[in-house]
Amino acid sequence: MIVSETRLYREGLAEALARTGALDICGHSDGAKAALDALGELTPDVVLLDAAIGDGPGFAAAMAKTAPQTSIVVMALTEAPSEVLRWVEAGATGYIPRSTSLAEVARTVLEIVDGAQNCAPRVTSALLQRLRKLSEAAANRSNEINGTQLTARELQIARFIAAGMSNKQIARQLDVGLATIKSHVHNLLGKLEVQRRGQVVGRLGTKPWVKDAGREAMSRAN
Amino acid sequence: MTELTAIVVTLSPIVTDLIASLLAARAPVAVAERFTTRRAAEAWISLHKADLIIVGAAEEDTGDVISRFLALAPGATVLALSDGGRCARVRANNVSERLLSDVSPDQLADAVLAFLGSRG
Repeated sequence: MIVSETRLYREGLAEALARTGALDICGHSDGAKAALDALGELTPDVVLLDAAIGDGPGFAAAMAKTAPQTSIVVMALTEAPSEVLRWVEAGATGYIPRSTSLAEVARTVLEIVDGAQNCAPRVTSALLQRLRKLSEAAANRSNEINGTQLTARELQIARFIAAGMSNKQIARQLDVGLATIKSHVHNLLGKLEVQRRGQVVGRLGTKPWVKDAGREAMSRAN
Repeated sequence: MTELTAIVVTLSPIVTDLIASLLAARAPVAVAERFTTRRAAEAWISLHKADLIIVGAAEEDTGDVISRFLALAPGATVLALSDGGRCARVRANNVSERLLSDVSPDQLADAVLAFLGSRG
């Protein structure tokens, strides 16, 4: 399905792509609302979305939610990293750069659906940087308890406490002095705003690893 | 009809190909050159003959752009696209201009071919 507010592109592209025989054009639409309505009826494999459409990323997000099985390919996109990221984060599957010729459109669409997006090096680099930032953010979130950032060591000790280990056992496990562990536990209790180590588990309750902490810690201790 | 020579100025490759494909399906029109600047196109026109000049321009500039090209190529037909491809103006010397809005591929091709036909 082709979505463009410009009749010349919408109908012209439908005609030109149909002529190639590589894609079956099941319909075209002149705007977001009509396209969303048509999605349920036409169930296209791919939506070719004109990058110039009003509130394009918002529309891509709505479409991705309405028809998650449909690939959204943004057409004639200026290949600036920020633009590509904006569309991809909204839900676009891929894009056809503005510099692409008509003869390459059908092949490019098929490649994208097949999982092969051809990117300019600077776009690839921006995507990798974004991935790294998301990964760092996720790692930081996993160290965060009730909005409090724990150090890696505090988190490790919290796991041992959750597993029911004493300070002495933890010190032995980590091969450090008992005073060091006591200091970490003191800081940990302060950050979690609890008085006793028994309350730590309650504070960590929503963390997915708490459930397995006991088994994991005990196996390490053994 | 003998083959007509077209040039395309300041339009993206997809739009250029689209228009070339639409016209070629209906008449023997071949795109000889594509230009990313109007200045380069003007230099080419001063040395070569073009039957059709297809140019992308801001809506408020289309009148001036068309006049400038027709001054350089008095026998040509100029098609100016503006407003992201929604509006088209077709003009040739001594022929009334046609203004098309929300133009379809058929309307565009018919208008251009009518102008080219009227030029003999």
